[in-house]
Parts: sequence; C-alpha cells; structure tokens
Amino acid sequence: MLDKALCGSKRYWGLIIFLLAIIGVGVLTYGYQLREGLGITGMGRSVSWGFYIAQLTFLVGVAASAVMLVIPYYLHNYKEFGKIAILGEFVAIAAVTMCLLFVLADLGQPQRMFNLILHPTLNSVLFWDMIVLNGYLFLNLIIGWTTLGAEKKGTPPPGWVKPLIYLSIPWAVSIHTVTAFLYSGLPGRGFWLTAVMAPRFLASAFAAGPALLILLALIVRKYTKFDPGAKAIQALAKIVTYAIITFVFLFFCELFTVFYSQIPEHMDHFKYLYMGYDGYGAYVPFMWLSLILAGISIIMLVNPKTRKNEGTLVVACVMVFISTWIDKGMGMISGGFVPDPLHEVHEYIPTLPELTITVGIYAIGALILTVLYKVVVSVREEELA
Amino acid sequence: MRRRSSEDRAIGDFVDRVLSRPGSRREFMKKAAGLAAAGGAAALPGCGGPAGEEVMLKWKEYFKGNYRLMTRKEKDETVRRLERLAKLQDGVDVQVSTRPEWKQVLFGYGFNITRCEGFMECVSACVRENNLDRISKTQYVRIFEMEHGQMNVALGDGKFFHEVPVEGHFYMGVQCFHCESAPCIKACPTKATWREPDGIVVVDYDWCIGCRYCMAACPYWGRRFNWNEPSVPKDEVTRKQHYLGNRKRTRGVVEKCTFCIQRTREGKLPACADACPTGARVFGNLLDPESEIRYVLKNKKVFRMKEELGTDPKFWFFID
Repeated sequence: MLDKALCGSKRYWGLIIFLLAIIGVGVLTYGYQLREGLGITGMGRSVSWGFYIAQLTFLVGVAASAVMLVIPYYLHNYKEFGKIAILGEFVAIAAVTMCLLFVLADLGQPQRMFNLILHPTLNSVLFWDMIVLNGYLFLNLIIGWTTLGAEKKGTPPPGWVKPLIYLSIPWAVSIHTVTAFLYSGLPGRGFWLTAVMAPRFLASAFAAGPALLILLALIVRKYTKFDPGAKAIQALAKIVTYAIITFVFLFFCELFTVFYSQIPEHMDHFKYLYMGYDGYGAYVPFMWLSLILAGISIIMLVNPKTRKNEGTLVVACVMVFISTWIDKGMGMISGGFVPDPLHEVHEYIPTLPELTITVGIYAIGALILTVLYKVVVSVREEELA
Repeated sequence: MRRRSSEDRAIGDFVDRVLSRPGSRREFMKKAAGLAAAGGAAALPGCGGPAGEEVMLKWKEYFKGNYRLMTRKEKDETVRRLERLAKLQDGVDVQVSTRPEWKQVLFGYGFNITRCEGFMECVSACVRENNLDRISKTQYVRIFEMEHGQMNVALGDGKFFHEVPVEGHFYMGVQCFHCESAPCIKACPTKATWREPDGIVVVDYDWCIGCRYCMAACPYWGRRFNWNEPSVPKDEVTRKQHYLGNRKRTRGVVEKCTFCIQRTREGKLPACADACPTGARVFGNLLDPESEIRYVLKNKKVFRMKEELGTDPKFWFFID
C-alpha cells in the first residue's frame, strides 16, 4: 500500500520536500547538540527538563486521543466514525513517533538508550512510559495498516485485529496516565504532586487531539476527493466541547486547592506562571492567553450555532489546540521546575538550536502523517472511482 | 515507606539475578565487544599507535556492563582501561579504586548550624577533591545564609558573596543527603544509580543515559548534570579516584556527592568535613556506638530537611 505514497500531485511532493528541508535543518542541529552536549539548550541545573519533554507530554495526549474515535466506532457501533477512525490511528502513529524522538533528543547519552531494555527497572515510571509508548505505536501500526489493507481489498478486517483494537482502548488511556505519573509521583515538586494530574492530562488530550482531527479532516476534504463526513466532524466537535470544559474544570479544582491551602510549595508555581514570581514572569502572557483561548473556545463550542458552522468551528478548534499546547507544551514542565526544591528561581527560556530541533521533530511527525494520509486518501479515492 | 522500599529492592534483586545468569546479556556483551574490537582494530591504520589504542579502549569501554553486574575480573579490566585512557587523553596518572564497602559501616553526616560561619572552605575542597567541572563551576555543596527567626532554606540566600559571618545570620549546608528511601534511585529507568551497603548513593557514570529523571525526583536539589564536557586543569586533577566517586565524567551524565567515597572507604573524612575550619561538619559510622556522629545523635537536638517526605536522609542538622 505504501506505493500509493510514491505517486502524487505536485502539491503533495512540494509539501514532502518542504518537510524534508525542515527535517534536514533539524537533523543538522541535532548533530551540533550531539557534539556540544545539552548545554546548547536553555536547560540548566534548576530546570533540568525543558521543551523536549514538554512536547513529549503534549504529543502523548494527541496520540491518546485516537481512542475518542475508536470507542464510539468499535464499542458503540457509531457508523459515522467508520471512515475517520483510521485518520485518528494514523495521527497516533505520527504523534507517538514524535514522542519517542523527543525523548531521544533529550537524552544526554543517546548511544546508551538501549540500557533501558538491557537493565529494565520496574519501579521507574520512565521505564513504563517507554514500554507503553512503544506498545501503542505498534498497536496502531498493526491496526491501522490491516484495517486499511482489508478495506482496499473490499473485505472486512481479519478477526484477529478485533482484540487488538479493544486492547488499544485502555492502552491509549494508559499512555497518558503513565506520562502523568512521571510527574505526579515526585515528592519535591509541588506543582506536579497532585492526583488530578492524570485526569487533567487526559481531559486536555481529548480536547487537543480531536480538535486537531477536525482540522485535519477538513483539510483532507478540501484538497482531496475523500469526504470524512460532516456528521462525523460534528460528533468530534461535541467530544472537544466536553473535553475542554472538563479540562478547565479540573484546572480550577487544582487552583482552589492550591490557593485556598496557601501552601507555598504548591502555590508559588502557579504564582510564577500566572503572575510572575521573584521578578521572573516570561510565561505570564502565554498562560493567560491559554486561559482566555480556552474560555472563548468553550463559549463557541457550547453555542450550537457556532459549533455547527464549520467556519467558526475551525476557529474554536485552533483555539483549543493552542490553549492546550501552551498549557502542556510550555507551562507544565517549566512551571514544575520554577521555583526549584530549594525555592530558588531560575527561569528557563528555550534556545534557538533547541527550538530548531523541536521544529525538526514536528516536521518528521508531519511527514509521517502526510505519507500515511496520502495512502488513506488514495485508497478512498480508488473506492469512489 | 521502608516496607515499600524493601519490596522495590526485592524486585530489583530479582531482575539482577535474571540478568546476571551466565550465558545471558553479559556473555553476549563480552562477545560483541570482542568481535567489535577485532573489527575496529582491523579497520584502523597503524593500530599500534596511541590514537588506535585510545579508540580500542573507548570501544571496549562502550560495551562494558553495569558496575553492579561486573565480575572482579571485569572491574579490574575496566579500571586498567580507565587509567590508561586518563594517561592517553589527559596525560595524568590516576589510580581508580573499586574498593567495596566495609562490613558493619553505615555512613552518617552531621551539620552543626551553630558553628558554620559560611566560609565555604567545604565547597572549594569538594570541587578540588571530586574533580568537579571548572567550566560550568559545578558544586555539590551549597551554603545558604539564613536570617535568625526561621529554619527554612527556601527563605535563605544561596548566592551570597560578601564577608562572613554576617551579624544576625546563620549558615546551612545543603548537598546530597544520601536518603535511605531515595526518590532519585526509584526514578532511574536503567538502574544507573543505587544505594551502596554503607549508605552512599552512587551513580554509574558509564551506565547513566542522561535522562535526568533523578534530578526531577530529588526533593533536595542534590544532583548535577554535565551539560558540557567537564574539564579540570591537568595539574589540579585529584589522582586518587574511585570508580563510583571522583573519576572522570563525560558530558551528558548525572553526578552527585558521594560522601567522597574514594576517601571515606579508605578511612578518611570527606573533603568537606576535613576542610571545615569551624568544626561544623561531623562524619562517621552510624553503626559504631563510639563514633562522633552517634554522639551527636544521642546528645544534641537534631533535625533533617523535609523530614515529612519520608526520604530518611542520612544527614542531620544540629544545634550546639
């Protein structure tokens, strides 16, 4: 089926070459990082994780959200999702691949990464995160590829895929739960030390992922002959609505605990992110932007008029995506490290090489997604012809 | 807390045993290393030269195992390679020890906050003794200047630079506290860090993948990462080294205070305690009823930092 990705329009190849060029710059910059060490990033003694791990955290959520298509389609037999379930699974493949690349980019000694497998540590959450992420990648590769292959032949998918599909449901929840546990079990980090972390992660994931899917489905419809279906998109919009509301609710739950209790170790991180602390506040405008975008998008999504109008729906989805990206991709990691356990403030600002590598990895994800979507679209266009 | 950590250890031991079965990974690694070394040698022109030797040594080093799984022979071999590499790369003669723990020894540390006057002799002694990177100015020990009336390091000043002592202030030292139930050890995904039987929390610098999860996990800011290639001027290198202590680190790995394992296992005091001009630092064997640290625990009012976290540090602050 991969041959379908080899014949495409000029626009398709233009996109591929554009992405390859960005990837090239990213790879070169990574070579520079390998040679010089992680000192070329903005990370340091106090903020020892930065943009890379933050993107991992965000993208795990995007990957997990494929389950929001799988559950209605396979468990509730919601037929409208039949055509786009595969789009969700392929987003998951691209997202998980990016996650693994971000972990790799963050390692100080990447040539030793197989020590994770050579000397597994069952009590380390990071070990489990590696297991569930790789497992999820393979599950979606197998499921997506076989179901699409069967569809191409005009046969129902083979029986053995069904159990894997059912397995992928709890597995999707697990990848984001385990990723939240990376943070929420650490005794010295008040910002992360909260049981609401995993639910919050899942809620923002189920908002960001389906919002992205709506945008992708609309792009596919605009540029190809394959129509994912207006009803399916509306159903997704409702999922985004509930998820973003839940996310904001959980955020305020956390806010209440932190500010009513007034425990500095928990509260000062929020102060740093939303008000500035000790003279540092680079993230303040972004965090407020995130909150405001979440608020406006909720209004737009709850109101049936703006939700059903695809023009305004696109705007709302973009807002949801940016809002959740700022929350996890910027605030979540930096906020946890500032102030540090000795309550000192060292602000983290990513450097240009760090951002270049980040963009490069996103381009790799976009490339994988483009190729996979090209295959889907070609198969579907053949069916129509 | 303690029960859970012993369970963790049980799981860890089980994995260790599975992994160290003969014919398993270690055998494979050895064969792979041998083969690869042979291949590397064949590919290198003029392999007898020092450059070829260095590549060979580094190649073999790459394929060695986790320190805790090494046999006596493997430990001796890696030590020989490391000593030779230090000579080839930096032109220094070092002795790398692999001396194990003493029986019936559990190290403990006491810090007298009445005595410390913030001279920071401990900090510079530590930097010299442990071959800490001079470029990024890595320091294991930090001294906080605190105002009277509270005991919270969060309110202290860890960056003071002026004449000491200052009226109305006292000083508190912070370093790795060698917790019995250490969050950092639990976090490590590769078992590259562990607690030795004498209580010292160590890092295998050649097994650490540099993920820095331990740094996120430590509630005391006790760990340091090599963001750049660390460097020590040739004539300032402390040559008496320990595999788990002050030997050369590379960039991209985590390191930390080891209670100066290269000194304390030889019966000496850690460099910080040795250097302290006011006698604020007490170090000794917690299992020896006659030791100074036991005297402190018995006769002084002591406390530990963030005791409520249940990490059970082996480092006590006390007041005269």
